[in-house]
Amino acid sequence: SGARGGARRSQAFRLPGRHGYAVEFSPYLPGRLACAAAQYYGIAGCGTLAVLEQNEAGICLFRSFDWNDGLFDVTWSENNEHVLVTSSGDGALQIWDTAKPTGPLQVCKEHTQEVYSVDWSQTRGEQLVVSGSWDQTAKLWDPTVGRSLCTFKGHEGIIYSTIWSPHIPGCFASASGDQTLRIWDVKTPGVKVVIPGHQAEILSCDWCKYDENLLVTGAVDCSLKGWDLRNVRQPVFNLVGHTYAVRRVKFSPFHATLLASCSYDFTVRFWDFSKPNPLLETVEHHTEFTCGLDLSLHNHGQVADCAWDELVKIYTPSCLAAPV
Amino acid sequence: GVVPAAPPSSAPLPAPAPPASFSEILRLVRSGRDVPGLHRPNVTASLASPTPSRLARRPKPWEGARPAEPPQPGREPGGSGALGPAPLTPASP
Repeated sequence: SGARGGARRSQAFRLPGRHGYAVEFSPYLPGRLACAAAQYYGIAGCGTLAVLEQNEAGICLFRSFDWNDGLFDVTWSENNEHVLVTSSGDGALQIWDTAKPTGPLQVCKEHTQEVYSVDWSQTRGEQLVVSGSWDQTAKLWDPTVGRSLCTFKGHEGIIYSTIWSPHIPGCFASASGDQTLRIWDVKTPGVKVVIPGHQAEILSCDWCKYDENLLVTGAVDCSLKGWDLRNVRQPVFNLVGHTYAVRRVKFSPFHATLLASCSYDFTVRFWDFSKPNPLLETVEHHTEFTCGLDLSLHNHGQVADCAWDELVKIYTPSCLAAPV
Repeated sequence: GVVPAAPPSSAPLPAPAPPASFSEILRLVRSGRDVPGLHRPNVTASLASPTPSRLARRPKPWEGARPAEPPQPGREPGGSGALGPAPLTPASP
């Protein structure tokens, strides 16, 4: 079920010799996209942060920065249009300034293993960064301070994803190889909620932008599951269709019940969990693991993704093209 | 003009073609062998201050079209909040 589409107005950018892990649209500049990538799949070699500029004519490189190890995630500052943060295979976070080409402003190295996730807080009152690592901890950072503020222990496996709530200040979720989704608040080092969400590693999570109690997880069991924090004993939805692990999930910035996911099955899928047949569309335009995915905050329906085939794509899938 | 010299007899052997596949890279790394074509920069922090911001924060689509509000010390959750009534504010560094 679900339309199989080539997406409309699809544009591509190739990063030669680099395998894309994450993409994120700038919250300030509609055409600007950051991509965190690694040489040799992140196993060996360096990393590259590519800052891209997209318009009607295509995608070009605004600036790129190299790092000493593979880059696995990227997040834009919410209080400065020039600033972004990446996380890397050597356990560090890097803070970059797109107007300063010579290198990172700051490097924060505390994690003892790969940092797979980094996220800048979305709520208005604070400027905080959370990182998640293969060392099974999450760390809280003030981007103006070089040391972490707090370390969150409790996961019994690799942390793959750490995402701030867009509604509840100081609250973030983490997804782990220990098969749990956990909810934390920065005032307490111990976990608030533990959800044994899947019988497989959970690689990604995200918060609904229109329901502060609702999250989604994506896992190695190929499914996406929805979770209501008021009753976590069973999922509120279960989306099946991917044929390999779900690598990243994102709720729509514009619609309460729309989601997107990308997978090791090379596809990106779009879902509406309020429909009896929730799979809206499958986009097959990569030839390798698709790891990065983001939905534009400015251009309704616009999507960016990246994959291990060296390509970053920006497009509007048919199912998202019509405005509400 | 200068006639190009014949290549020196001690010209290096051609490097092996970079391996293409994930499992091949993994095998090389695990067996302690060099991966051809590795780029290993030596990047360090500049410790410079960030370029000053000149753009106002845009509201998110889910925040509606109202103009930016001053920062709140902590949001009062609605009655359906699942994480308890206390607003969550970070501990001061």
